[in-house]
Amino acid sequence: MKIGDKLPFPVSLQVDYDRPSIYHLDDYGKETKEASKDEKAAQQKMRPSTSFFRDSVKRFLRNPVATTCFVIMVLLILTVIIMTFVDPYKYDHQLTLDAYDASYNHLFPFQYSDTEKALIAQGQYVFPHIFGTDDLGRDYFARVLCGTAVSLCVGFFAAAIVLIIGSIYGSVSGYLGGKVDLIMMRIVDVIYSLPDIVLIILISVVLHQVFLTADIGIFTKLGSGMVSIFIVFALLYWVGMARLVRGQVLSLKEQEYVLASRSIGGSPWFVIKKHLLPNSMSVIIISAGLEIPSAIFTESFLSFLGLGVNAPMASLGSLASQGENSMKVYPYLLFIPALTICFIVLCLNLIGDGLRDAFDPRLQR
Amino acid sequence: MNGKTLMYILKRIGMAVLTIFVVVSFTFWFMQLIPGGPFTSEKSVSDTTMAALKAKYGLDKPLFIQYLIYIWRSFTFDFGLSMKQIGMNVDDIIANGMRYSFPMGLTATVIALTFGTFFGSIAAVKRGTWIDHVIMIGSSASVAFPSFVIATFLLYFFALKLGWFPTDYVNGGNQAFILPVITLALYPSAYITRMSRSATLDSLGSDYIITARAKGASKTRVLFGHVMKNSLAPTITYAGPMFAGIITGSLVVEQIYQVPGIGRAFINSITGRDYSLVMGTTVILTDLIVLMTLVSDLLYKVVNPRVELE
Repeated sequence: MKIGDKLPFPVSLQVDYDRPSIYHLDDYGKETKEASKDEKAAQQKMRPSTSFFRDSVKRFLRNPVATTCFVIMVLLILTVIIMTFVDPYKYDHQLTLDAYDASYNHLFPFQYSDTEKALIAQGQYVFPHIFGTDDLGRDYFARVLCGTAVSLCVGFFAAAIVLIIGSIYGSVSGYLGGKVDLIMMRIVDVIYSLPDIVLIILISVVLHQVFLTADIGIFTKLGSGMVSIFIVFALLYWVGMARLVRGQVLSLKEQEYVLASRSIGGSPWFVIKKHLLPNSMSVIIISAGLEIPSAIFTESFLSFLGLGVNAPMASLGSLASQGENSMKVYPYLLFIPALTICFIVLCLNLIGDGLRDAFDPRLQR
Repeated sequence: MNGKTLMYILKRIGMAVLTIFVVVSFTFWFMQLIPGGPFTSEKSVSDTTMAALKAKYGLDKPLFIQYLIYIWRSFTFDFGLSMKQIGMNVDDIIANGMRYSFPMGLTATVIALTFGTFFGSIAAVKRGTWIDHVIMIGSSASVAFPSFVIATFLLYFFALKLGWFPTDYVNGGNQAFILPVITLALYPSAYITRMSRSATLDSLGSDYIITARAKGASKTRVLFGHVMKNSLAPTITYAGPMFAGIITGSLVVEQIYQVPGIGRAFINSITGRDYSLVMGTTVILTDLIVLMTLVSDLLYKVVNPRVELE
């Protein structure tokens, strides 16, 4: 058969690539039928292709503990957001001062003050004090909500700081290599060996003193504990992340597609941004996620020492710290925020473990 | 000891000195941020008294000279007189604090090592059974409990409600230290449990264990003679930094139980701007951490000769 000859069978110009070809040369002239659905299904041996991400999510969902914790955390965050709007009480509002009614102070959970009892007797609806009130007559549920939100925010932002600084530093160091890498990694080594607790205490005590006398706008509002956590995470805690990212980059930069990208003129920053970071993203995000409970832990511990958020703002640690003063008489003021911290940290730890197992293929058993 | 090992040790010591230098410098310059000085108080002091006080503690010199003296003193362990606790030597204050913190930290370390390896090994050997699950749930929960929560809960239930333990740590005798030690030991125990479980699992799966079993060694003998020998390595190297961490981290626990240890001295020194005491506590705590890390790194090489030093 030469080029230009008429083909012995009709060829449609519109080729439907999605449809399997049912015409074969052998079968020319014979009566052919399209395969039935069952026959087609029998031919299909491959399972649908999945991406690494989808595969990992599937593995994560197969882990009942981690999935439960994830659902609980989502519910908790939603509860905090919704209840902040639903709850008529504000975290810094002293109910005692509204009606000059001292019975507002130190209400036990679901108790009502004298004023409120009178209102209820008149048939009005009064929103219950779900966790009671504290020594200044502030609704404790509203304060715990505020504290939970503050603690969670500290966790997320601290993790974000670690993520940004660590991944930029690590990828630059790993990509450039050579002397630059050597010097950058020596700096990391020194920072790595600094005693973190000593420095955290030092920084937050000093900042606490500074904020007591000077007003530095938003920073004073946040409180020394919060600012010092961010400083400490920005100064010290990114080094673990930097090492991790550097390791990832070192192994990835030998790949062919990186060479290809460089050979057609990709600048170092372009290669890092376009190829190296996206490919090590899952590992990076998971270890940043593990920083969240650690930051919440640190914040609560500083707040407990009285170095945390400034009153009337509340974090779970500062609530527990205030609760400890009166724990003989009103133990719930201590136990509610303390148990909330434990609960959040436990859930986040378990989610982190689950994610690490799901996303790190080397750990698959 | 060959040349390579010596080089490694020298390099590590150099790094340790550098770390201490960085911490001491950071401390000095950062402390300058606090407004006021150590002698600022509600009582107004006459200018001559202030000048005399400053001269006595060397605060009248230029800042950089003060810094050099500070560095020199931190490496000679001569911290001088406290600026706030009149007539007290910084070394004495630190020694006083250590009298409480050191035995507490040591006991907690020993407890953590014992319980951690014990539960970790059991969980690994009984992997997948309810024993394993209970131990792992227990350790995950303990890791999630901040030390101040544990401390306040123990204090509330056992000291205040049940009255089993005294709360006076100066005259209370050894009984008073039980609750603080339990609090300090809980987190490291849980951590070691997890670490030792995974190390034992790794070890249990290796070929030499199968060989030993195939040669007819009993399960107990394999466990203690072969598995433990290898699975203990990470735990042993963790013990040093853990001890240092317990001592520095004990400040919350000391605050709650009102133990007059080194942690409280540290916090009080910074809030009071007692420069010499800040220097003393920072240097001692940093030295402790750096030294323990150095020892544990060298020990790791002894325990695990296959590791190449770089």
